[in-house]
Amino acid sequence: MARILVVDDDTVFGWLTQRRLQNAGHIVDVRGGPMGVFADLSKGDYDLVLLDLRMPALSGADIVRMVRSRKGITTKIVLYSSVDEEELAERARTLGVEGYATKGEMSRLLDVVRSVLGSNAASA
Amino acid sequence: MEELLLAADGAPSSSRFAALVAGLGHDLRAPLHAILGATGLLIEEVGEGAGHETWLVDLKAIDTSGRQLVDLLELLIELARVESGKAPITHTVGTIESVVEPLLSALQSRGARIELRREGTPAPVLADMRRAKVALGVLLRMVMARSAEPSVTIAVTHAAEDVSISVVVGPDCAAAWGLAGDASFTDAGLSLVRALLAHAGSAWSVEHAPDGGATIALTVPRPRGSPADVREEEKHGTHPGRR
Repeated sequence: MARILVVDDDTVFGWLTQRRLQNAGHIVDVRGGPMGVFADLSKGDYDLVLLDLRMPALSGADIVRMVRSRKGITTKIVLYSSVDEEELAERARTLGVEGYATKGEMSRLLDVVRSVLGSNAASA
Repeated sequence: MEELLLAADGAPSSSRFAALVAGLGHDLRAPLHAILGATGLLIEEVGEGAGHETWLVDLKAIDTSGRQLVDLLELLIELARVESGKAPITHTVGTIESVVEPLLSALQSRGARIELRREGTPAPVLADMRRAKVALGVLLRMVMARSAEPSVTIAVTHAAEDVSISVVVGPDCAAAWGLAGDASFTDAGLSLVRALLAHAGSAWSVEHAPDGGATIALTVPRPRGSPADVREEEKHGTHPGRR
């Protein structure tokens, strides 16, 4: 069981993801945008943040860069998006996050989360 | 959206439309992914309870149709990217095995029975490997969805000039796709697969079987000449065997 924060402006996908992860035994909170994410992560309560890539105002990539520039936040990051899988993989690599998952294969999400939480691998 | 419309402004209408579709991948996929995500979740949750067999059948029907729509969408987006110039065709030297094997593994993981025959010594080919993988993947999933029990029969034949991939299509499927009789098939998905394969560098032919079925044969040329010639072919996509 892990504590996971889902950040997604798509409310439908937010609760779908929350339910999927809760069914697998995780404790999951959802934020509908970047507001409050830094405060949440600074408390150090989350093992993993699942981050939508395309959001208005502040993209997932912006959030990754800001989180990485702050000392003390060690939460693992998984990008989660409907963009082309190849593009998503490339974004994950260049941003240096721990993993990525396409929203088109939600059944694979749990494998990615398990893999990222279970190792320090650079990708999943 | 506004940026896309402005960027496309002034181009011929067909290019404008292709540019628009090419830039809308995320927005077209997102609602469909939500439908598939919700369906998958319900299948898991309903599947655990007794007396929900009819719901399960209905949900799986939604899931199957949704996945078919995703495949059609991916083909349309890929073609739009090529035809708008947003992501031009890029021919590289690779192996057919690197295209076929991951696709077959994915189908197997979804419960498909795979029958794979290989002939000849494996050798490299020259094609847009990524586009070939997208198109072949959709074709195999279409065949699997149409077969009575999930199965795919495929043969990979390495010859001196090219490599062919033959996909067996059952009689019902061939009839539904309009493959029987002449070559003017009517299925939209098959038309898009064929168009993307042509861009990727693969020729397409159909052989009819006595039982009413058919075999779709995709032929991909092998690179010719010196390594320098191959690099030039990769750069310009000028292989003489390409359609």
